[in-house]
Order: sequence, then structure tokens, then C-alpha cells
Amino acid sequence: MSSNKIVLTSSDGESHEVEEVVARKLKIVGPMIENDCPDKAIILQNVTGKILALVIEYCKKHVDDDQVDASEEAKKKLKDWDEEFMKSPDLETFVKLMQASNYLNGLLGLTCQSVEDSIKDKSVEEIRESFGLENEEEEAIPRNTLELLKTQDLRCFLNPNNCFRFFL
Amino acid sequence: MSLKERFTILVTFQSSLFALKIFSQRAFMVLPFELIEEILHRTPAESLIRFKTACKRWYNLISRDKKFMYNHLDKSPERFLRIDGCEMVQIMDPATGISSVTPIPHVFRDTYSIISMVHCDGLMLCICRGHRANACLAVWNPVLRKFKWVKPSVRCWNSDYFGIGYDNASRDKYKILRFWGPLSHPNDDKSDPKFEIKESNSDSWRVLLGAEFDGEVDLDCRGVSVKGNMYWTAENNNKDGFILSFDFSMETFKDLCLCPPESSVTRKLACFDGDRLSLLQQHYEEESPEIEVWVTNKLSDVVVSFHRYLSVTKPGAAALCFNMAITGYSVGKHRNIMAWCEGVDHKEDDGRNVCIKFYEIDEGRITKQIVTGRYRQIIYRGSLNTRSYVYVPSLVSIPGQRNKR
Repeated sequence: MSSNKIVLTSSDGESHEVEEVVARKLKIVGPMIENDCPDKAIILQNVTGKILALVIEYCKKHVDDDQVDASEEAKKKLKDWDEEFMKSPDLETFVKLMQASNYLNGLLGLTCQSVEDSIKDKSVEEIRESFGLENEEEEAIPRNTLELLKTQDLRCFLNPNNCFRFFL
Repeated sequence: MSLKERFTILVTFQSSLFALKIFSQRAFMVLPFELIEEILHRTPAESLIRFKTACKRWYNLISRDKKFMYNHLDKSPERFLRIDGCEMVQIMDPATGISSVTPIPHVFRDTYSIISMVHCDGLMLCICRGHRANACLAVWNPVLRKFKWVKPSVRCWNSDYFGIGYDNASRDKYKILRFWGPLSHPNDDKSDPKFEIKESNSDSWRVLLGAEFDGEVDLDCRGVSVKGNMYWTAENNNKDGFILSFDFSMETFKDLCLCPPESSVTRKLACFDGDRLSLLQQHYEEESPEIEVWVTNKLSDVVVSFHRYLSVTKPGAAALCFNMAITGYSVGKHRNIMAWCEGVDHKEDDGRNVCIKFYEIDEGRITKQIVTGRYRQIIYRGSLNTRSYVYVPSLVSIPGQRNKR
């Protein structure tokens, strides 16, 4: 395998030289090499240097992911590294990393899984707060009260989150 | 420490792992909706139920977008479901061993207690005790906490066999199959149809003419639904074990393949890796019998056959559970078996102490053992009755039930 180098440049002019196989972990890079940037210097308009450095760190760590003969221990170590990697940035950086992962089409699984792990036990109010969602309770999010009453266990009324829905 | 306390502490601990960083105000406001969809794809169904009221867009995605619902379902990991003494439903995540406990729908207690269930797409087809030897049928989604009774054409028997699946052309139109078992009692006055099928958008059953198969389905096999079709272990006229399948698209029975040739074994069928079957075999005459697991290739292949996947030579205490209770089990991709079953701790003159445990076993030994409950059975009633099931939580609505607009 030839060790081709690609230069990835961020929106604020920071350049990183990486192996082609590492760069290709970002699905956006492949077509760019083939079509737009035959001289292998790629400018990533939507990603700042700080975020790009993090992304490259992840890609370098995961470059051998497709090899099937990794031991259970190696897989566990990688998983632990991923967890630490997700915990280390501050919140603002983490969100920027998420946006970058969407644009670059890489790390998506990991970033989305991290968010999911943190939100799954949250209340609806906290979700609205975090995602900046408009509370649309006043609009008709429809409820067929009678049908719900027929099929639900009456104990559900003990849950305060359920009560006000039935008595709108 | 009670189950509930343990559950609360573990949930709090998990939340706090990210608590410091994630929840400041409006942190995720900048994310495009396609990223939010990716996040929600990975969110468990139980959480999605709560999040659907967050805003109208999320409501439409979670409650109405069928493509999202089925993509989410196909990505969702398995859970174990157990009905605890007819009162409570425990649902466990086998990866963490954490289970949630909710009350069972009121109607399933006492009079119409559940005898067995078949799972398909997060829906449970429940065969419930009725009057005398009659059975009642219901479809239940434990996540949505909704159910609907299914009226029989004439009557159903406890010993009938039932199946649930779908035509591949329309996954959301579920069908229910019913056919007699050897212990069913057809009416003398008018003939109850032997094979009949009911579609979700119809109130009536349709007799299946020309549907036949040779042999007999195993008495304690309630069937497994995989990718919309049903599978049972059965015995043909030569006394060989085979797998009988019912294709809901073509509405025909077929002999899928022979079981691995072994005599004096109990066989338990399950879904493996989403689109294959696994067969767990144990000799029922031995004290600590070896457990063998065989798996098939993909069921969509032209020719399907079993190959040996793993053997557990000294299962120890777990072996008793597999033989004694009707247990749902799951075979993992790391050559391990997971099961949630009951075993007897010790017997006394006036009863026995039963222990409910979740096991994870690999080829060499028991790798995980979690006690989830204990109870004392005062009068010895023969084999332990409580069943556990493998199921995948989903947001699929109950067929035939009118949805919220």
C-alpha cells in the first residue's frame, strides 16, 4: 500500500498532513480527491483548526477499524479510548465537533451515540431546553382521551406527567 | 438492595457521567435536523415516547414517520421481557443487566393471564387464559402500553398454535395465523377451520385453503417470528426433527430444513442476528447436560441449514433453568448465550425456594449471573411456569387500532 499524503486545511488556515487512508475515514474526502483536488490539498471550509485536529486524532486511532482480526481486548481498549475522547472536550467544542462530523461524514456514530447516552433519561423539559425547541403544548398535539382511557392501565394516572394530558 | 433502588442508582450514575457537560441551555440548538434524526435513531424507544411531545417536528418524526420507525426498530438492540407473577412486567437490557418494572395491563391479571407470547416488531401476540380450555388473543406493545383484544372466528384453544408476521410488500399490515394443535378440540357441530388468518385492517378471519403440512409441531414450541415469517420446531412422519416455516407473503407452509440429528434432546428455537435462526439443544436425561447451539445461514438464502455454533460442556446451574422453565434465550455474536430463567435454590418439604437469575454463558463458563428476584413456592406444582421472552422495543402501533390523529 503506497503511503500517499494528503494535506487537510481548516477554514482558518491550519494545515495537517495525513496519510490518505486516514483522511479517507472522512467520507467527504474521497470524492474531493477524485474530483476537485487532484493535487491532494483539501480545504475544509466548515471546520476550524481546533476541531480538525480532534477529528484527525480520531481518524488516526480508527484507521485499522476494518481489520477483522482485532482481539476482544483491543476492541475494548478502543472503546475506552472513544469514551475518553468524547468526554474531554468542553460543551461548545463538543457541539462544534458534532457539526463537523456531520459535514465531514465521519465520527457520526460516536458523536450521536454520546449525545443519545446523555439525553435518554432526561425529561421533556430538559430536552426542549437543550435543543431550543418551542413548547407547542397549546397547539393540538392530538389526544384521543377516550381511547387512551380504554387501553391504558389506570395506574398510569399516578404519573404526574400523564395526568394533565387527559384533562386538557 | 431492591431492584428499584438498584435501578435508580445506576440510572443516576449513568446520567451523571455526562451531566457536567451536556446540559447547558440550548447547547444543541445549532444542530441540523438530520443530525437530530441520527441521535433519535439511537435513542431507546422508551425515551422516544417521552420525547415525542418536545415539539411538533419531533412528534411527526417519532409518531408518524413510518420510515423512521422501522429504521429505528431495525437498529434497536434486544431486550428481555419477563412477566412476574401476573402483576408486573420486567424489561431488562442484557448489555447492562438493568431492568425496568412496570405494571402489566390490568386485563392480563388473573382471569386473562398470559400463557405465552410471540414477538414481532415490538408487538407481542399474547395467548391468554380464557374460560375452560379456551384461549383469548391480544396484541400488546409494552412500550406504548397499549393492547387490543383479537376476536376469534369461533373460538381458540390453549393448545392452538399462533403466529404473527407480515407480507413483505407491506410491513405495517400485520397478520395473525391460527391453526389447531393435537390437543385442540374442534367443535362437533360445525367444523372450526383448521388454518385461518386475520389481517390487521379486517375484523374477520379468512380460512386458509390448501395450507397443509406433514408432521406435528412440538408441543411446547410457541414459534418464533423472524422478518415477518414464522418458524416452529416439529417432527415429521419419520420422527426426525425439522423446522416448519410459514410465509406470510405467500401464505404457505414449508419444511425449512432438518434439525441436527440428536435424540432425547429438548429443542428451543430463537431468532439469531436478526435474520437467522438459532437452535439450543440439551439432553433431557442427563444431570448437567451439555448445551449445544446451532445456527442457520440467512433465512433469505435459497437453501437453509444448521451449523454448530457453540457448545457449553459444563453449564452447571444454568442447565437446570434451561430445562425446567420455558425460557427465552438469545445467542450473541461473541459466542455466548443469554437467558433469564428460574431455578430452584433448594427444596423443602412444603415447597421450594425459587431464584430468578439472568445468565450469560460462554463456551467455558458462566460469565455473568444476576439475581433479579426470589420467591417461595409453597405447593410444588410441577415445572416452573414463568416465561421470559426476547423482544425488541418499538413504537409500532397496535394493528387495527385507530391512531391519534
